[in-house]
Amino acid sequence: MRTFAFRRLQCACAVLLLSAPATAAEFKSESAGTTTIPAAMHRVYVLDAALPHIVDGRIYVLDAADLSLKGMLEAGFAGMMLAAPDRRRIYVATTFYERLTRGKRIDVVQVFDDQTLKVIDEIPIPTRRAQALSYRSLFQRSSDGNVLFIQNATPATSISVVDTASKRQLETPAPGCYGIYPAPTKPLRFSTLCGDGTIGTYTMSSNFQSSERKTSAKLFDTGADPLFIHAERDQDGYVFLSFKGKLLRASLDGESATITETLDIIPPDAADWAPGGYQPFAVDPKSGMAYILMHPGNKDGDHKNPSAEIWAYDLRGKRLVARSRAANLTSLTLSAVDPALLFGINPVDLTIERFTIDASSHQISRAGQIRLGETAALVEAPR
Amino acid sequence: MSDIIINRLMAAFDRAAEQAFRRSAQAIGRRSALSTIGKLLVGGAMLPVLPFDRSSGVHAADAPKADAADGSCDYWRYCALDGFLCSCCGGSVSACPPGAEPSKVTWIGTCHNPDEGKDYLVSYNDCCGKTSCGRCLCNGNVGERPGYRMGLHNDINWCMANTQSMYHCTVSVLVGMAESK
Repeated sequence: MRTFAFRRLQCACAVLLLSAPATAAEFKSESAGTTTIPAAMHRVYVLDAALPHIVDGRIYVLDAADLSLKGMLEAGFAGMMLAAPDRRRIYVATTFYERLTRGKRIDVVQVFDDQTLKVIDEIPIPTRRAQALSYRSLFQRSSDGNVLFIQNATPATSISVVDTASKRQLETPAPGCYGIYPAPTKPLRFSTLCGDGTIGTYTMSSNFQSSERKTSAKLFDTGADPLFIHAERDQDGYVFLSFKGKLLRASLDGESATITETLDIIPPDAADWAPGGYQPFAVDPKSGMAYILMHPGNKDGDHKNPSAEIWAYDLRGKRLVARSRAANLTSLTLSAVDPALLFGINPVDLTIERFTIDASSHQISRAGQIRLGETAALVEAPR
Repeated sequence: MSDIIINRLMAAFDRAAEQAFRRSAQAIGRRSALSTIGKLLVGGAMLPVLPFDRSSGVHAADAPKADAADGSCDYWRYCALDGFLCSCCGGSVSACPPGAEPSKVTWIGTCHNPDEGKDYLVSYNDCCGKTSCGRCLCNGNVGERPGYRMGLHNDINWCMANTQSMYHCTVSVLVGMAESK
């Protein structure tokens, strides 16, 4: 049987060869090549921890124009992502094991070129980094871009500070605190949220030898109305969001943190609605608009529930401007280059979705999607 | 209606939801691990809030028999479990599959047993040292809090203090009864 099939194949090949001379003049041979990401392409990065095979996390690189997949980066085991568009780099803090799933643990920051998507440098870091869900605030950089901040947990918490040029490092204990919020204009300063409702602010010496900590007053209630650790930048500070739908504007540039304003986004006729997700809101620093993933139901344990709507809230006018249907999202980000574009992760349908924002009404409409990934949780559109 | 929606979402969302990890800080019957953590925290501005105080308000568990719904995320003791059910991976509700070891640190949820009308303290140990199981991903978050309340946090790999820290799946071990509120 096999012999017969092989002979038929030989015959077919012979026919092809006989016919070749007729088209040889027109035939142009190809050579295998490699694409790169165009420098001018607006990017969407999606970090997928790939839980069912978690040593194999990845970052998808999509074209913001149509969500087509353009490439990917390796994110290892429970990796974290930080895009540095000004340097055309993407940093990935992650873990590798010597025997894939066992053996010596090795933690590194991989430095990727954002056009070739190749690793061009690697910075060893202590094997204490938090092997956690990829919240944005667990991996940050200083306002001048020179210093990386990495959340550690053993489960005792600390923060590793890494100078990207010299690779000098400092580890600052931050027990009972979690999340990193670099000072907007002070490169050697960052803040962190603490379990007693305070915010700790650390200022490092320029030689990376020491850091000084200042503790704020109690600023939030970790029991009755905790803050999500995802935070957004406002023009001159940060915006935090509470489980019960309060937006807190924070000043994190000084030696100790202060809350400058608290806004309740929940109107009386939607008292049972609440924000939810892993990256539950995005803020446009220029317009002061916040876009928040909202769902009905505000019971204990609902704080990661997928959205039913996106609410547009005007931080400066202090009012809810629009409510738009947007089902099943748990992560949301605003394009850094076009404030009329949002991107979200829908883990129910396993899609990445693109939304447009109407400039006058702030109504939000879905304008594209791609089915992609398994357990994505962080989406960024930084350039 | 909301329960139907939530159940549907949880089933799919948990399939997707992240966190292979999690479980907050508590050493259950592992005094050496707890001692180590305590030493690491000495001198800090504050200690992470441990999920419960074993010296008061907690009694030895008279564990009810596991029910047949082990493979379902709706089973009551999974109310704050975020990860793959070990009962779907060769283990059981409370035992790791062959070759995997229970995490040295964990976090404790409080779940309501509707059949008995009682609340139980549940230790969500991750099982460690084998590749991620990939079956029966659940994502309960009752009582869960962000990592600044590490003892109540489930978006992190609770195998982090084990020598072999690869995450495999998660068990739900009844460790006490919660005092009625």
